[in-house]
Amino acid sequence: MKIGILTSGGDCSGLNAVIRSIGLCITENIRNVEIRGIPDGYGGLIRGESYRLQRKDFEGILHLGGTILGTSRQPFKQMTVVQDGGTRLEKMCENYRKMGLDCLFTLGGAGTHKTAALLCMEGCHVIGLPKTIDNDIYGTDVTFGFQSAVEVATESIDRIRTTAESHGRTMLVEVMGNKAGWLTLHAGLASGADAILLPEIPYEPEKICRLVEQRQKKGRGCTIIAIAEGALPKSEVKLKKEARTFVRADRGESTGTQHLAEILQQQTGVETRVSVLGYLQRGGTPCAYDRLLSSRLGGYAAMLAKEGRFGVTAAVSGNRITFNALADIAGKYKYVDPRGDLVRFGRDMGVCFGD
Amino acid sequence: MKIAVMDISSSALSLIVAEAGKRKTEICLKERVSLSLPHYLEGSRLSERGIEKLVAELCGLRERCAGMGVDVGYLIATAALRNIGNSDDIRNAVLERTGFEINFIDGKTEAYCDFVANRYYASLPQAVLMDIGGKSLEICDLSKKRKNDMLCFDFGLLDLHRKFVRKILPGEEEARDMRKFLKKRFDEAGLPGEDVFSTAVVVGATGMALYEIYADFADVPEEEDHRTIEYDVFKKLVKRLLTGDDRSRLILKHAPEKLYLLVPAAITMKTLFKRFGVEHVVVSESGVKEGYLYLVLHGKEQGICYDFRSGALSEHPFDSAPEKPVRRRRTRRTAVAQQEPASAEGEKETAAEAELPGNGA
Repeated sequence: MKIGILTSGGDCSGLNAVIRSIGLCITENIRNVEIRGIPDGYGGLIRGESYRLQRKDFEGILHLGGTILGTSRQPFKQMTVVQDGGTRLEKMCENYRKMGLDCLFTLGGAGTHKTAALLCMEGCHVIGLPKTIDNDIYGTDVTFGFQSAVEVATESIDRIRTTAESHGRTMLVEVMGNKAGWLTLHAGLASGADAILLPEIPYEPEKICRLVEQRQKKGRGCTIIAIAEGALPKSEVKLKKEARTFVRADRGESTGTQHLAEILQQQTGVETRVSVLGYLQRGGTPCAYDRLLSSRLGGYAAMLAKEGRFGVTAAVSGNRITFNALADIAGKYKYVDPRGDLVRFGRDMGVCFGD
Repeated sequence: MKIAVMDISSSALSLIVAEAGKRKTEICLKERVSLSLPHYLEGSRLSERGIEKLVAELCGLRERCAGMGVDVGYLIATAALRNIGNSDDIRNAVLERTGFEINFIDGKTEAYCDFVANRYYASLPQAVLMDIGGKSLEICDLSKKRKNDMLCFDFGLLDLHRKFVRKILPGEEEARDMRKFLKKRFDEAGLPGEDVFSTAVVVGATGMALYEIYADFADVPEEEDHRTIEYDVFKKLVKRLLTGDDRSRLILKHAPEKLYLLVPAAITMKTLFKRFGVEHVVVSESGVKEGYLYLVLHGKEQGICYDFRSGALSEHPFDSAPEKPVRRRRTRRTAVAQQEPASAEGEKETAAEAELPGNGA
């Protein structure tokens, strides 16, 4: 049996732990198996590159951040565009066959899963693994990489809080999450942020201003606002993505955070600063939870391959590891429910969601 | 009174919620959750994971119903579940974990539900209705109104896929074999040939998904009021789905959960259109659920429902039937399709029609 592994899309903690777990479980449980690492995600598959992974390659990587295989972003929309006499999808399928693969593990987020479903439709045997710090993959309670990012974001907000308290400032901490606000919500609640602004709950800047003013009046010198990079004011909800990007680009910004900070400073008179956590959230060693989760997911996926169950992705449901059909989850996202338990819990504690 | 009907098909769970008043019944919610059962099959049996997924999604729909203040809910299943090896285990698990009893409906009843829900198309000239499903095909001549006139084939798209397709999507040769098989089965069943029907009414979720792909392929404007298919363009689409570079993307974009079904569905529909000499194709939003709702409301179908008020199963949840027939809330897309037959035939009802429910869901 010949198995390929690739990691695709933005990196996150836990990728190597999954690679290790797949590698070890497969070599322990399947006879006459060859494992091929495909470099740079789907890019490597398009180019037909792969190299043999030995058991020793899986050792000592559990705690490492990033991915030993390398990764790249290959937009889904480009997969079926004809270039140089063929599409990327055709090249991937052709190389899958040339490499003689019996199964391909794809570690990635929502976009990676969509492409995996496409490969599956073309007859490749694919098993997906849910990777993303955004936790927005449909059908799984949690993705690997998410908890480590929550830890980093929470610690960062804790650190920023001490500065905010010392200077009596309002601090906006921009957390990753363009479409889904899971990371901001978890980190915001875990760090005791006063306001949490999510893409799923459009905000009114006036309400945030009122929060800051009320806190000032009560003598609470600082206000901590956890804001997702995809959070947007109600006034921008009806704008199309292109129009929103244009408006922001015109202000020299890529997100709405800086603009909100300016509004807050102007209207409340309180010194307001922005801190963008950015790539800090992706990198570094996985937390213990992610190491364990990644190992469980990888091991489970290896067993799926042994059973010959393809066209699926490993998932977490309750506390159990299970699987979903790629066809059922491809192209879908899991969003924060504005009426869900976590948001309600936040509201009960007096957290402002800006709506 | 709020009534829900949930349907388990081979690729999804779908739900409608209707508000049944004394004067009219209006559908206030339509929802759909992807659940591709073929992925969860182990041989002819649904795996434990498949049952777990089914139950979890049903619990989600039950919560949705409870949140909307639904009074009673019917859970129906057609051939997709009826023909599964362990359907009794599934029935028991669903009952135990969700409280719902699955009402298995046979092919003729399924066809009759489709018919009832789309009866307003009967005034179109030489109209035939077709529901192309995963495990069965239903075809009804809309000029015939009795349940026994409905034609139901005991094979569906999944069977075609299993029999003829080696990989996931069929190639041209496989499509040719599929067409031969279909022709043979249709001939054996005595399905009439060319020039018998000039209008086809396509119902069911697979037909709807195929229409979405057609609309994308043919650049049909989104604001288009009614769903119609031009046969010549449809032929080109079928070719694209068999040989096109972007066929997988097209399917993934619109209905990934139907990856096994869509191309066989396109081949089957084209075969039927050609056989009947169909000139006009209309795609209807209403199908089995709407028809079933109508039938239970009017006491013509006896199902077992879950009574949300008492938390128990019930066979007689209605004190009296509503005075007026079920009427779907009109959306912009369907309004014209509903009005056309009415203007052609008017509101009058003949004695022969009187035994049937009035202008449908």
